[in-house]
Amino acid sequence: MQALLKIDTRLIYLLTFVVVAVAVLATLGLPVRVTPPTKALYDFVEKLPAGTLVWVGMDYGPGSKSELDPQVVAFFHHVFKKDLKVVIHSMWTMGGKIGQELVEPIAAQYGKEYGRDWVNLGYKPGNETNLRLCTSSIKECAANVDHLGSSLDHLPLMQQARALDKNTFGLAITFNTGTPGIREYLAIVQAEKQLALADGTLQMSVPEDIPFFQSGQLVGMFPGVRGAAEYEVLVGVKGAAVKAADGQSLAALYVAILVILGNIGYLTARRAATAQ
Amino acid sequence: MKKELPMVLATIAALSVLLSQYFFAINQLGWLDSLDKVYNMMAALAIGLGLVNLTVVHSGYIRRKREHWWASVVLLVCLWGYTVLSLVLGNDHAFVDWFYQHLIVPADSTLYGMVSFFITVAAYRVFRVRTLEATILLASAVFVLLGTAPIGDVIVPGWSTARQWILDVPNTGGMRGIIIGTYLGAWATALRVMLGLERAHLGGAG
Repeated sequence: MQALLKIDTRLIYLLTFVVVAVAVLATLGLPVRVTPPTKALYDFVEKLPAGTLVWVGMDYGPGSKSELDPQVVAFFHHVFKKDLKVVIHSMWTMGGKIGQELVEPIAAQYGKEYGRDWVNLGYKPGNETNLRLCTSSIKECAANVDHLGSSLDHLPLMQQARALDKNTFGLAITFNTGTPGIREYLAIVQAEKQLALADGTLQMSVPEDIPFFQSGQLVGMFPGVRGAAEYEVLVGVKGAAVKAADGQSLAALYVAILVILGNIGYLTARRAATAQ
Repeated sequence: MKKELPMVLATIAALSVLLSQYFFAINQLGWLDSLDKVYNMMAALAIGLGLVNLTVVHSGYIRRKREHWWASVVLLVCLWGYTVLSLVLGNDHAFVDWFYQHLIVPADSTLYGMVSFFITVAAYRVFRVRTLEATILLASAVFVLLGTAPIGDVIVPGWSTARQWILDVPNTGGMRGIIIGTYLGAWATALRVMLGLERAHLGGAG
């Protein structure tokens, strides 16, 4: 039994790979139960009238694509289904590009036109001060150009989207992994401008962010890839998240088994040492 | 003067932001917007400064043939290659996009993906029922872990509800304490910078 204390690290790595690969290659289709933060976000979006402007912060880099991309995709399916208008902004260098490549195919699927139904401002340097500048003038915070370098004056949607405030937008959401991210949005967009705010975050950030949902500062949340899977179920879209949640299930079970085995080995060794 | 001027500027800027945030009449003067515009401009300029700084530092490494100097060559080639390509061809050009799709995305995703391997081994080696506190930590960690994944509800129906309670009640209580403490600390540091007591940001003058 004490051998359980000395499982080879290389074997653990190999099994981690096998477990996740199996989940990705073979769909388990485990049922996904919707949790309150995701349901609250879905209900909020559901109540927004058609034509309402939604601000989307793409505040992450390629490293978090596996967990946050499915959230963005599920959210945009809902937003375009509901005929809402979207302005995308990024405080992260690669965020604008990630947003463009994710949203373009979904917009095409729903017949949404760039400039009229959605606009991608792209990456704008300046972190929270840029965000604050957007609350007084989007044209100024974006230096009057979008992600592709086109003038905002030529995009009809931007005549309507003048400033990031509650009179112009119905909801702001940031898909984020750290700083700048949700904290900047909470301070500027929610607290200062009183605009309804939602959060799409990594699973490991959920314990940090959930107090803001509890306090009512967030109208809803995507709690990690599971949140994305829940949203896919609610919107009725088959995406990558449900499959990723299968991977998460097997990986979680594998880690739990490893912890149990390690502790069996530890207790056996301790008992043997006491007996001696 | 080299230290005093930045200190005075920092104090004026900090006071302008503070007063604008707390007093409506001052807010209406538009100082905050003006400062934000200045900061945005500086942030854009800082990217250029970063480019120059990285180039100077890594050129030095290459000249002195420091250990792993070849990594500095790779860095400079990527840095300037991608910058020039983006400036000449445009951000959306297929060639620029190829570099992004086939180099940046896989490299960044790989680094993030590797964390799962380390976490798995760390969980196996560290989580031990050594003491009562460690046992409580272990039990709640495994409980939340399995409750987070859909498999929790398959093993025991309602598992995710119990996991949500742990997040909503004990976790939220603890996190609120940490968050309030963090912001009090940040507030104290900001006050020290504003009063000129904190000078490390002026070049380690102390």
